[in-house]
Amino acid sequence: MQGSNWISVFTVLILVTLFGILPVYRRNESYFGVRVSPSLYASRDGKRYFHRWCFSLGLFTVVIFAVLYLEILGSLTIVWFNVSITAFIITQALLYAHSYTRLKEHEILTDIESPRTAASLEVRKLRNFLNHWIELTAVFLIILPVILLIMNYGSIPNSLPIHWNFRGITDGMVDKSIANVFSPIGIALAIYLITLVFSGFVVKAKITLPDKNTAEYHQLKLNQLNIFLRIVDLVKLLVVTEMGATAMVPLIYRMGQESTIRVYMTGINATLVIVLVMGVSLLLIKNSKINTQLKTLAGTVNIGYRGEAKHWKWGIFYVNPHDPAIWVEKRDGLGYTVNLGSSAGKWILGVIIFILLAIVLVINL
Amino acid sequence: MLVRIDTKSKAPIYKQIVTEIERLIAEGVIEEGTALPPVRQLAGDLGVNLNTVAIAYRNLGALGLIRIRHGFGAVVIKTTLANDEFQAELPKRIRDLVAWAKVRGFSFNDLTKTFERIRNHLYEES
Repeated sequence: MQGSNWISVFTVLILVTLFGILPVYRRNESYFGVRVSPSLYASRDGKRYFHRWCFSLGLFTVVIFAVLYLEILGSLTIVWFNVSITAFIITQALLYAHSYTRLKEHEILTDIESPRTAASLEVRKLRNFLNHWIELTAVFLIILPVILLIMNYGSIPNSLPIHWNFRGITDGMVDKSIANVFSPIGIALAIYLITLVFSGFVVKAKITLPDKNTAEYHQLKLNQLNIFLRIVDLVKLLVVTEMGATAMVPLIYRMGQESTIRVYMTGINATLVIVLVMGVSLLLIKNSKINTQLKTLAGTVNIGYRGEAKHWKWGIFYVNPHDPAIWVEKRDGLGYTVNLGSSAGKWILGVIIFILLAIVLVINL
Repeated sequence: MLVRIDTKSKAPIYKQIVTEIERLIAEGVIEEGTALPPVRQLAGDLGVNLNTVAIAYRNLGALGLIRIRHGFGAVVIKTTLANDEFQAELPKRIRDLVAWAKVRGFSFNDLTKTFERIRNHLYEES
């Protein structure tokens, strides 16, 4: 099964965030996974890593989009897109490894060995963090195409378009069957449920509080958790919309009228890309503002890192068998990760890798 | 609803947690029917062993302040206990406290002032 080429654009956006923004998002607090002094970060030597990183990021973004453009014109095959993406990931990974090893020598280790002295007794339950309107919208967007497809099942043509290139020209068809008609909805439902389970986990991630300004700090951390869950909501809604829109293509598809599909798919996908980029940017700006407030309150964005620096491997993996927490906030300050020191954490990572591999396999088959 | 513990103190952590939850109940911050966080959440946030928090909850359960239902978590069911069995303990605790203060040079005045301030804070409703 193949999706629309717009999935490539989404993939690029996700990869640019993961391999582009996160390693430098927290500045000196987590500079390529290492906590360095503000003076080193600001110095010419320190900035060198940042500049290299941004140069490579910019270069590859231009190259990747140029390759995609040439593919639209028909001068290049899809293979070149995959090649440029792989080259991008490898280059950024090597740059990360290089920067990490060099900066590790200047790492500021703990100044508070056991920082955890306070905790809130408020129960963190997923129910209290969900926005009911967003959930209702998502469920509605899953159910609506199902109803429309069932009502009009008879008028769906016998061969269905499932893949379009950037010019909006159909280049993949399958026979009409219940599985083929409803599979996009199935994917939407699966992704909706996965995000719900994931959100349920991250609300339970540990919150480490400082000695002073404890209550205010705690409230800001809850606000940040909310912002993260809204990012998850945004991704969830966009995926559900995209899949619902794809599922409804057979309803508007008539042989020979490909311009309709072109306008429909391009319109929806372009809107989704714009909404995603704008929405995530706005939420990240909000998050950064809270980071500034946290720094004023406690001198750091996450008090926990100080005592736990030695448990972070490569700045990405948290391995601490003595920590009862399974989910912890990521060192780069956006998102959550599992404690690989716990057996539950290892299981969760295993399941995530399995799901990712399954998705990659299904898309490429 | 913040509990604080002191890892450098000689008092066992589970006792500190029990004392903190009792304080929050006395202050009226935790009311009857309030759910306490799952053991794992509190242990994770405080960075203490799961058993430490579980023992603290069991102690509160044995006192009759909370009810622990497996899979449903712990809920505060009472905010005041019958004091019959603690009659003998009260003078002993106050004696220890007053002795502690006297040896450390606190005057009778200091002691009563502090006592009144805390009493007014905790008994303000009654």
